[in-house]
Amino acid sequence: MAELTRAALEDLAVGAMASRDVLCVDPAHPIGRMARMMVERKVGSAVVLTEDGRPGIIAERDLLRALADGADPTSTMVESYMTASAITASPAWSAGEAARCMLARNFRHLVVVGEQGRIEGLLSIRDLFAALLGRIDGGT
Amino acid sequence: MQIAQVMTCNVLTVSPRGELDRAAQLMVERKVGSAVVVDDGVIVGIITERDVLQAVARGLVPWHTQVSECMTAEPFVVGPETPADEALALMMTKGFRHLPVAEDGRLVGLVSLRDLVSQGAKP
Repeated sequence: MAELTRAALEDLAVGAMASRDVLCVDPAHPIGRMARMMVERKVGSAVVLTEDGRPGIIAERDLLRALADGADPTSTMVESYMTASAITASPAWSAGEAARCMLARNFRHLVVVGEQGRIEGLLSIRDLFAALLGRIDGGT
Repeated sequence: MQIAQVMTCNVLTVSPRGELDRAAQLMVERKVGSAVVVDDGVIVGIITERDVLQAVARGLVPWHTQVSECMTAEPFVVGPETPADEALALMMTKGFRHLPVAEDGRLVGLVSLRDLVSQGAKP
């Protein structure tokens, strides 16, 4: 099992594990609207498309912070609680690189950016773990 | 590996009658993504970031909403001696990221997907 895990951490590529169907939101969306979009799409995070072209990220955790601050979901904007300049990963990164990066920086998501800066997906800690488990259970 | 080896023992608990914004404050202060809802020593629910997201999506006003209105009631519970892979399988099939750990009906810990991942991802 340890050998399989080690092999899978090196073999699996970020591009193959990431969710391709990424919810993108605007920095000026109210967080209440963003919450509805997340629930409809069954996701816990979204990429924020900013004018400078460097994607931000906003997740359930950020909504929690907003509520803790007493923010009104109908009037508080995504940009007030997003993480600007999210950590990006290349689709060619290995699962191990992605896992180490997430754990070291204490992030649960990586924005997958391909050539020409195109957003190709979003990799969550859950995607990563599901892929590793699939590989180990599959025994390949 | 058993759950007792990876669980967090110092678990945040909240009352079902507390307000949602106060529960959010406590979760942020304690840097956790969930709290176990305990009423009179009995585990009655769990509230996670996901539940908070759903409450906001439903248009509930955080300071006028009680934890009981948005928690997941009667959550799946594991024991300290449950094997880690069993808990992990439960999480992956049911879509949970957190499981309360109880012994003789008493809350003794909480195990998160992150706890299990950190163990598994160590080289």
